[in-house]
Amino acid sequence: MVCVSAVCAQDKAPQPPPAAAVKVQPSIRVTFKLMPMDANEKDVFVVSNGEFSTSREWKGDGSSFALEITGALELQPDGRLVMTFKAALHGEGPDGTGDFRVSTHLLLAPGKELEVARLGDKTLVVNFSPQQ
Amino acid sequence: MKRSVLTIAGILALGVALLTAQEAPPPQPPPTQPAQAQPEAPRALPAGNVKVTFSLAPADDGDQGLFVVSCGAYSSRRSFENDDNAHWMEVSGDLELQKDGRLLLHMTVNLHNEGDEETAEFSTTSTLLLVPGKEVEVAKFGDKNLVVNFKPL
Repeated sequence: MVCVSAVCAQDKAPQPPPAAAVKVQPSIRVTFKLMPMDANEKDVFVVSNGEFSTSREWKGDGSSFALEITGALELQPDGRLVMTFKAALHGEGPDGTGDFRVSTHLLLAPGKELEVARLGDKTLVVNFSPQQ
Repeated sequence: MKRSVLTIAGILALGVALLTAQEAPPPQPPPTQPAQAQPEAPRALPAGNVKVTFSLAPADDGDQGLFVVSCGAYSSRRSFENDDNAHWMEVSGDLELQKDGRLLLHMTVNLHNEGDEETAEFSTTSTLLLVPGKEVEVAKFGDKNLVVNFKPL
């Protein structure tokens, strides 16, 4: 009798929600550019549906450059994107060393570029598009 | 003999009473209704992005100041260093665009300059209510004024 009760109790235990009920937001492609761009410079992009980070580093003859970006994003029901991120740019050359950082909280519209901060002689530009 | 029997009976009665008292369930709090899950209130989106510019006036050649675009918390920092000089400036704070178009800005600004012969450091923390497009001199940093303005985007 006790065993039967235990089995009944197990049958009534709360079940995890079906997988379809778990809300997963779509992936977003976020692009970061340092403007104006040098001749052989490329933009940085990352595809994510939550937290993200990306970095690049370059070292050459007497110079070095490093860019690091971390953040998190959340797509809104109206198609806009709430994003928090930090960007750090570091450069070393014969004239000295420069270090530039920004941390901010943005509300972005899809496809619309936004100049976010001045990092040295560059302007950091951000935009995003939903990933197909 | 009769007294002993009565004593034993009394002890037994007391023991039964104690056992009964121990076995009695402790008073339970009145049953409460299970809490109904409340729908989660949607988080209010920020009013929009604004561009805040921090500059030093009069500006040195090529110094355009710092700007940051945000709809909430922000920080930005720049530093230069070479064999002769070092400079860094950092701004941080929080902003809130008001319904009337003005901006409530909390800010902390630190400035550091090092040269061959001297070092200077300045700092200010303030809360401002700014009108779009209108520059405000916020603090004196040595021979320069810290100037702040913003525009909604």
